[in-house]
Amino acid sequence: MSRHSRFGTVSTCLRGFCLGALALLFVLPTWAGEPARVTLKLAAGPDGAQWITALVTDAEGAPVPEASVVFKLRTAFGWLTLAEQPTDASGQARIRLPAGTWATEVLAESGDVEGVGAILTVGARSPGPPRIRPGPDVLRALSPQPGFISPRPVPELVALLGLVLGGIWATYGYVAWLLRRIHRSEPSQGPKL
Amino acid sequence: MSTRQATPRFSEREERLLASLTAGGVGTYALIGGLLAVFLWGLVAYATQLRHGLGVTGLRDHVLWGVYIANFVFFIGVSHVGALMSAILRLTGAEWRRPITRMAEAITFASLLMGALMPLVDMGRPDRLLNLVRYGRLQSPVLWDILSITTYLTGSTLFLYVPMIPDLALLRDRYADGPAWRRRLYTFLSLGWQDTPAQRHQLELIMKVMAVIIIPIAVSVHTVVSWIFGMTLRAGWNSTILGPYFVSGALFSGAAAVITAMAAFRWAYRLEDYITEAHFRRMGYLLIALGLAYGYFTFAEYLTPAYKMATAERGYLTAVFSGPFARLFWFTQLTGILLPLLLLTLPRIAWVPRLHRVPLLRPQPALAAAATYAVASVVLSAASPRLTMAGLNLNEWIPPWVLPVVAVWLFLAFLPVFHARPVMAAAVASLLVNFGAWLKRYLIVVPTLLNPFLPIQRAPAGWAVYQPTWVEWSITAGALAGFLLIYIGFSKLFPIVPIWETREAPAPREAADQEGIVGVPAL
Repeated sequence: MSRHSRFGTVSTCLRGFCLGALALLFVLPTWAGEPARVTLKLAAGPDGAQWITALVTDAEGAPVPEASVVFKLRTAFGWLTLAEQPTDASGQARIRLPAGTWATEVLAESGDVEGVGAILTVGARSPGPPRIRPGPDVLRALSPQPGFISPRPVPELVALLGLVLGGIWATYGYVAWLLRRIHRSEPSQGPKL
Repeated sequence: MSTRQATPRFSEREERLLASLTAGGVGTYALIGGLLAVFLWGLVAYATQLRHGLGVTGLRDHVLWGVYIANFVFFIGVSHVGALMSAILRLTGAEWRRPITRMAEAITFASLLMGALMPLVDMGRPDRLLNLVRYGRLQSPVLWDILSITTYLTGSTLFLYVPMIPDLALLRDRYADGPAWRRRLYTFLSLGWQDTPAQRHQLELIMKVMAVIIIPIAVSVHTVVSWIFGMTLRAGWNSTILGPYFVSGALFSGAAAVITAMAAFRWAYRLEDYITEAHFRRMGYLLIALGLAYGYFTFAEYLTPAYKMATAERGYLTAVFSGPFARLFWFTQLTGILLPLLLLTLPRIAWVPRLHRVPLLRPQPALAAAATYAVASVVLSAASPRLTMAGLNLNEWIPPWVLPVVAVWLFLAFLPVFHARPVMAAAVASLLVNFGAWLKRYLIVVPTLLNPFLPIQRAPAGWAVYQPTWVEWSITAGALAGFLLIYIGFSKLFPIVPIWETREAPAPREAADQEGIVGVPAL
């Protein structure tokens, strides 16, 4: 074997080693049981509450135990942290959303540096009729939130507003009518003072 | 020539009362020009906001109400007392009211006009106002507010206009020197008034009806403004006494605005015979009573949550009492309530003039001390980084107790001055009340929004604080200038002191000064 061909073999081996090491660098974090994917599942509880289960798996699809999962809820002010839980032996972490939580987004994140996450829309189905019904329900305290907070005008409130504003504007009308009489009154109606 | 001779002239008394219509020196035009420039600058700022959106302001997702809504509550509050005070004094037959009722009612008119614009400015997109009509919810306090302000603006305009009719007829008949459009305006507005018994009867009837109805309307307006805050679940706003608290604050600031206007017109048009010291004394009593009521409400409003310090409200209360807003809060209480009350009461004590016998308690040394303190503070603040690098603290050079000592010294030195000049004392007190009233509105709006029950999360760092920008300050200055322009414009078009009502005042000036009733010189 010539000196030249021996050098070429070493060079090829070195190149292969470098490429392999580089590939290993990319593969290692996920390969060594690191969270690579989060899958969210939603299940309804018997009491109306909803359970959200996050399954954390690595790059090969195997569940990752003892991984930290942060559950967050979308609010008008950004993401509100609900809970931080470790996964069990099956790679799962769960939280419970109380009854009445619907039409919102829940985010689960796992992994310390370059975390992975998933978003689940909770209660995206069309909501039923409003729990607080306007009118008599509100006033008779039959709704869970009695009072004037109502999606539709409360008849009694509208009547009260109409009475007050109507009375005031009717008085303004009377004043306008008197002003018209002043305007139309003739000087002959009485001596000038 | 012949026309002028045929036109009846004003009497000397009428000419003095119409001085605001005719007098127009360099000072007046300079004032109007300056106000106009500020107003136009405010318009430029608003155009900038319209073009670039609310991003040019300090308003963000969390503080969506800032200086604009503070202006709104302030202007509505100032508008409160004009019609209300005038109505109560009319109904109770207080004769001393006659020279000042119109300037009080005009304040209501001008401040309502500017106040009603502020929510529109705050909206950012004025075209969305239409949505209030299309989708407005009758069960929302926001819609109640629009309805009540519209109703109050209509009522207070009528209440201002109706007692002006005889004066407008006087101007129609005798204002020969003015331009033709003025006479046409007076002719149109005077409704053919001929001063007949029938017309007088109808005018009196209207005034009685309006005086009765305007009182509940005025009270309801500021109560409804308070409900915009009180009907929400937020720290600092979720209070049952917010309605009466707002009303008392509005009466306090409104009465102060009337005193300021009285002092300004008395000084500008030499109306000492009509707006006497007795008027300032009476209005001072009113201001003291309203200030005490407002102070009581303030104490009750803050003590109730502060005693419990509930977890949800702790952030807000801490911010106000000892946090970022603490200086502003305590400064407002001192200069907006306590100091005006002291200025209105202490100078009346008989031994106050004797304070000048003590050389240190004369104004000169006190002013010198205050000036030295101010200069030292400015110089040391400028050199503060270098002092800090040298290991020296600013507080070591000027201890914190120096400022209150200088302030008390200055106050004591000027007490005898205010004793000799009660009108000046009332004017200074009223200006302080109005300044404090605006600061208080700012403190009602901003700290609560910065301390929501749900913590501010994942927002850019700058969004958790509120810093008004030049756009907001410019629009605020423009609104104030607009208010003053409307008010001065009104006084240039119409007599600011009622002519026919003061002509009918029963008591001569001497009796007025003794008993505090309006003085009307017999001419």
